[in-house]
Amino acid sequence: MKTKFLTLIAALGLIAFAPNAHAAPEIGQMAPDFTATDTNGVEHTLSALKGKNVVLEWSNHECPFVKKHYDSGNMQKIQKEATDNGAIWITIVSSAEGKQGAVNAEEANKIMTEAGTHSTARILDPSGEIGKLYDAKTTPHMFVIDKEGKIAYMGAIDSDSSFKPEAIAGSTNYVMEALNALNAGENIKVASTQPYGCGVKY
Amino acid sequence: MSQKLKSKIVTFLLSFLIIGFSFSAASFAQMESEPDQYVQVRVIADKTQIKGGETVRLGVEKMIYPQWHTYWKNPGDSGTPAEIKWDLPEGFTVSEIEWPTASKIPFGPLTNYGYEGQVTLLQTLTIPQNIGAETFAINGKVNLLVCHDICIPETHDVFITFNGEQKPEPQNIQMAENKLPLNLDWKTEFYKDGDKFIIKGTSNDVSILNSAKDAYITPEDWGAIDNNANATIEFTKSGFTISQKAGERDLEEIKTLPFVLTYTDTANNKKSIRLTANPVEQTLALENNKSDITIISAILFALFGGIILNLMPCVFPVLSMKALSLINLGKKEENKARGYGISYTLGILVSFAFIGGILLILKSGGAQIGWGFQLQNPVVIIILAYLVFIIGLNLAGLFEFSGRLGKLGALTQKLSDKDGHKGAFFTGVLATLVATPCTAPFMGAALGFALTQPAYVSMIVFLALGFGLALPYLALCFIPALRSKLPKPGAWMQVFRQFLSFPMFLTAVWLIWVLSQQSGSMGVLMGLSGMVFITFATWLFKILPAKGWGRTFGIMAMILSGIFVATTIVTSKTMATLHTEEAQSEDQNWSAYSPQKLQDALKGDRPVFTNMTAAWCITCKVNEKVALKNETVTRLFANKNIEYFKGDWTNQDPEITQYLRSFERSGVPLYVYYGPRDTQTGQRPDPVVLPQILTAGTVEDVIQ
Repeated sequence: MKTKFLTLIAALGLIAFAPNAHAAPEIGQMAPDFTATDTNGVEHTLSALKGKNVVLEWSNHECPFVKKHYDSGNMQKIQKEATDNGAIWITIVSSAEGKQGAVNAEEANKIMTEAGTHSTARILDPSGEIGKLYDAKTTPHMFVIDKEGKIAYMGAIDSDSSFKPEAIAGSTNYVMEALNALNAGENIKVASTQPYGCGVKY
Repeated sequence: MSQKLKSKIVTFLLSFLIIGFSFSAASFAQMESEPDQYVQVRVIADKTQIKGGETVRLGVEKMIYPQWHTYWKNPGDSGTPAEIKWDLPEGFTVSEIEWPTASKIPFGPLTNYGYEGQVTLLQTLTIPQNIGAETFAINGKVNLLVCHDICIPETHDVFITFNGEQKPEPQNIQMAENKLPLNLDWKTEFYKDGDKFIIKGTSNDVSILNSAKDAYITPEDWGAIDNNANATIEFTKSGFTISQKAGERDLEEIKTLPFVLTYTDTANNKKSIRLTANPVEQTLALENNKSDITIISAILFALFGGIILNLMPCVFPVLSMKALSLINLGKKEENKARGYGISYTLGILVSFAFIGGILLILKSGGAQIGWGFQLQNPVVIIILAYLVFIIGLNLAGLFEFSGRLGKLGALTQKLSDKDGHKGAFFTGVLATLVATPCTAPFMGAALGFALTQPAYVSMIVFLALGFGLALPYLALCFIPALRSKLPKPGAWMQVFRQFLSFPMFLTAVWLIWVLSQQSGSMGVLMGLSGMVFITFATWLFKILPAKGWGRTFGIMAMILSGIFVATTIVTSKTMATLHTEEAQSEDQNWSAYSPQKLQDALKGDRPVFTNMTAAWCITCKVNEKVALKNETVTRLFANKNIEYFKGDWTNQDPEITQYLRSFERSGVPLYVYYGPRDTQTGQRPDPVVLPQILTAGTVEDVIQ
């Protein structure tokens, strides 16, 4: 009882001290805002992107699940389709320094160019700040944010959690489904799924 | 055949041999370098000589490289479960995988469910009738993800031969069966209570759970619970209640939730049971959530609660004084009285709307807060404590709010002057302020309900509460008959007023106690000293000479007191940070000091660090914060495998006093580092006493 009470007090205390006490992202709620500089030195503020659909993609180029989608060209394909339809696509790398997938801006750009990505920007988040803001768990972990800045979809990229590229063909791509529904003004059928992949290397 | 493929086959065959000969995880330990594959897979069966129509228990056995892990059915925050794809000859069927009980495997801020070491996934293979005695093999592929810091996907080609050379391994199959959770059909239900996911299980016979400990749950579906959180599990005579922070998923999406409850029994064996929880029946859920309150009844509750608030020790004195001042209003001044009543009510409603508005804004911004959130901030607590204390002093008669104190005077007393309306309005504000500490504990149900409702409903409930608070005074203002019931003015009023100071002081005491929980003993020391300085300044103000040096000194002393009081308010948050860190013992890397433990540790080879501290020692706290709890230092402690003992000298402790003396110290802090035993000489170097003011650098230098 006593420890419970102390924990409670400690928890209350923590809430009071954390100025940006944030809750986990929720479907239909405002996406947590952030400002960050991308690998080309351009600053992006999420809340300033209202009016456009935004896709956040957590990535780690050495993770087999990320490779599954890049080596097969699947990720580039949906990036192109999404950005052609006016969406902003931000790839975020939350690997801490020295951990798998951690790169500097130059390396990141090289990887992007070589892979032929159509992502709008790549943001390096070695402190994990943005990752934790979104409770990003895996690579890839995907978020689709609607034009009002609300979270429309979060979770896995598609319906098959296998690391085999062959699995892509028979799977449903939840990100594209969400974007298409947003563009058509329809309800999103699947708004939240369990993300799969490697753990984010915080 | 390519060179690469050849070497793969050789490795595969070799690994088979190795497993064949030494069937234990030790086979990995012999490998010096990292292996090609982190998991070795083979297929076993309880029988390998079979006839048509029989069933066979198949096991896919995984030997996982030390410190690496593979995943359970629900992998947790990341990862993916293994896939087994059998290339079954016609007529054969195989059941779904039965997963042995998983462990919780932390990975940074994430938690996975999976396996380390050795694990066998079980399936049942059904042989068709038309199978004779001829030898045949069944091939399959096992796709799995194995992770440590990084993840590696592996694909294993596997096979099992029947009616041939392959030996049956009923014992290994039996061992695997023993690791499956026990399926039970207890009535099990789940629901959400605030941010907690609750599972309740009941049964006539729960003896299996007798003195279960170290229990945790692993749900087979995702998003029900926060995997990182720990479960609070209560075992009762008729079942159990599990409470764990809820996950990100909407409860309505979860139709049914099979889960495994794992625990350690009296004989220290790891046991697990598998249950299937269903959503609580709608009506029952409401009962459990105590939210069968309708909007109307919530408003009535709030209104009634507001009226009750008038009797609270924090509010009653202020309002009594206010009410008594109405006695002096003559019959002709009825309009005036009504006006005051309205101003006062407005003051309260505006304040409630203000606090409620902030709450709703913060909440819509995603902050996890509830009514009473104001009180979670020590700055607010200390200001409230001072406020009620000052009112108490005023009621006790230490000082009067005179014209020189300006508007403040209007708050509690001046009513009959021209400032009356403003005064009444601010009395309303003041009443709300002093009432806040009392609202949270008594109004929990209605306000809790309010917060789960849309914003406008929440606001209506808040305002109802405020209106309830205003109601008694408003009634007095509007109904002259009630006023005439008030006792006649007289000398007793002075005595009554003084009496009313005591509830105020009690409220201040309670607030300081709250502060002690938030900011610890240092917070209380500062807070109470602040009160003495407030009294001192007030007293100075009373005796202040009209001119001369005495006046200058007096004013300076008052300013200094003021600065001190301001400092206590500003620093209360820092104190609270220190205190909270104290209270968080989850990743505690030390154990409590005792001479015996230290001696034992010194007999060993590991380096030892001692820290003698006390709650009232602010240097100790600061040292801990900046140096000993510094991330680099804690990591260094972990890397060097240092045994860390902490002695708490907050209360008298002769053993610690003696230890301090042995280093010729008479007080804390004291930090001593005993280097590791030299492997050559078998001696320990002399202990090093660290300075009394630490930085992360000093600690690192000494330990390096």
